Amino acid sequence: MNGINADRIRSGLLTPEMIAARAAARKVDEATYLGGNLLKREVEARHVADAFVALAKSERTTAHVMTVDGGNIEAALR
Amino acid sequence: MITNRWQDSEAAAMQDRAGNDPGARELALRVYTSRLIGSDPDLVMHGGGNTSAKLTARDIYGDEIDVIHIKGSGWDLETIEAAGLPAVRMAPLMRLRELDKLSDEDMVNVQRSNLLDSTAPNPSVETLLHAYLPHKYVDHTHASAFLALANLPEVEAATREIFGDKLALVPYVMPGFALAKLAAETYEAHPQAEGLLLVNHGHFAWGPDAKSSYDKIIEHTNMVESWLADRRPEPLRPSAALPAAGRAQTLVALRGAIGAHLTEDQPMPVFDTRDGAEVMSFLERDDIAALATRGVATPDHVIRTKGHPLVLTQQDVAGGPEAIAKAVDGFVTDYTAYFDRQAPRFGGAKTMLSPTPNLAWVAGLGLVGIGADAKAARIAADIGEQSQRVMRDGEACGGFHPIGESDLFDMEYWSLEQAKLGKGKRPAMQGRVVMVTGGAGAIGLATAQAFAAQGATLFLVDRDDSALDKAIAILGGDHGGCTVDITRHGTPAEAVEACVSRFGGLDILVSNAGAAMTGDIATLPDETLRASFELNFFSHQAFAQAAVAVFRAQGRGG
Repeated sequence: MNGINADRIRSGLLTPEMIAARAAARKVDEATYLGGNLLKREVEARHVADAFVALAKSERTTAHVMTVDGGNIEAALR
Repeated sequence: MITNRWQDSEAAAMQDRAGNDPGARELALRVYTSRLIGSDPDLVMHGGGNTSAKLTARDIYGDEIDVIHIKGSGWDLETIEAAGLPAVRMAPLMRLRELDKLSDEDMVNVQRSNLLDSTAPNPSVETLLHAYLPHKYVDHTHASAFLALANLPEVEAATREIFGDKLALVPYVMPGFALAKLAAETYEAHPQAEGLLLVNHGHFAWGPDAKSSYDKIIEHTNMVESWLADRRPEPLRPSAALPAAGRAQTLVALRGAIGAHLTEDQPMPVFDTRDGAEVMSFLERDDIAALATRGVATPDHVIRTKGHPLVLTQQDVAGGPEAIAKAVDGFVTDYTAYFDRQAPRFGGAKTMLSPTPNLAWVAGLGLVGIGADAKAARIAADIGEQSQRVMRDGEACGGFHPIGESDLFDMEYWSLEQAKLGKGKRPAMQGRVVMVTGGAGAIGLATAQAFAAQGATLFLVDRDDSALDKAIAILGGDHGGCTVDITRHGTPAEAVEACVSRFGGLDILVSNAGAAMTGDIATLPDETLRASFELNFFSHQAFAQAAVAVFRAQGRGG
């Protein structure tokens, strides 16, 4: 059993309204907000999807959480 | 009865779409009636049957040459296009008839090297049969009615009764050079015939143009249909079907029993279950055990369903996983023994295929198509249902007695027939049944698509009906799903059961459904927090438990 730790993906959970509100709260535009990670790239649903498939194929990996957030060192799992 | 679907306006439209070139316009009519035939599952299904037309074409020098346009491998009549009916030079094909013997490999080579377009798909293995019949348009079906007739012990008498001398009989010979010559000789001995009945195999008809050949196909088939209808017994009233929970348990036990005969790197099969009135009525017969030993309605079917179905009786089902496993073990033993009996004729050249069943008749549950993926399972189930109808009708008119074991083996292990399955490296996730909760949402659907692209079978769970329908439509292919509010007690288990019912098991659960609810800690309403836990925590736990129960019962997964 494995998990994916995703952050800041446009979806039903992070709606357009929430994106607008959070970008405003950080005083940045939306593109900057969505690229607000170490790789400076927006993380899309397909990146999360590919991670699910990769974990499914990793037959000797269990109890693992893979992070898909473009790099957010302040929120890194310990 | 089969409907004649020819419409002048549709035919004209097909021709106009093909443009002004007379050859293209003629070929358009060949495509049109091929599709009409392909659109009726009681005539052909899943690549069965084939059609041809003898036309002329200009080669690279501008010379007009005789060609035969014949269905190419990998094309289905239902969706065929001009490219699926490649042109093959007639003269070299006709010259082959002088030979006493011709190996399958040599035959395929001559056909392939005489394609006008070398990038075209391989011409059908029955190309020579079409070529040697002198008629311009030739159509061949595996019509259900004809399969019932073709497998009667008294097929000759029955054919004469229905058709007089309008149809000539060709005794069973495996498709290829020998059958092509025999069929041509049979026609030449019966020049008044309008068609051929290939014993244990199917029907041929012909005509000077597309419409007249198609009309004969319909007319002949309906003559057999009414003869059968006059003799068809009343359907048996089915007794109670298994309740839903029992059904899911039985399917999972069957999948697990098959899985026990596979190595860890071999994927589990996917199921497609049919339980319509005809199937349930058939399963009430008291001769099920005997009928299960007879064989396939037309030799082509052996590739999809193997020669025989697995039978699970009421006692087997009631006996649960142990009894079901025992029945599957018996099937594997019998299949291996069949291989050991027949393979020596080929002196070690044949490798045994998987000895597990591709079709099951399960008392109180229905007919189960079993395949490497959902599409293969669907094909097996479609053929299984047709075969039951053919058996029912055949038994009412003298008996269903198709080709015997050695002919069946020759077909099942025929290299040309194996080629029809398009072997290659199998997709990484083939055979894996993947459930995605929140499957219609952005991440859920993207995840489903990523798994589907690797060959997985998807079952989406979402609370939004129309979003789910859209998501399944986007996925295309043979995927499934159900609409459910997973925060309601018991619904995760129901969703997992629905997945098992649809595909026979579950291999991977992507527990993705969730939502973010926000609020100030000081004023957050209690219901909001509890709703968040119900959705984001408790439903995931419920799904996990239901999934683990399936993984344990099928012996694999997680």
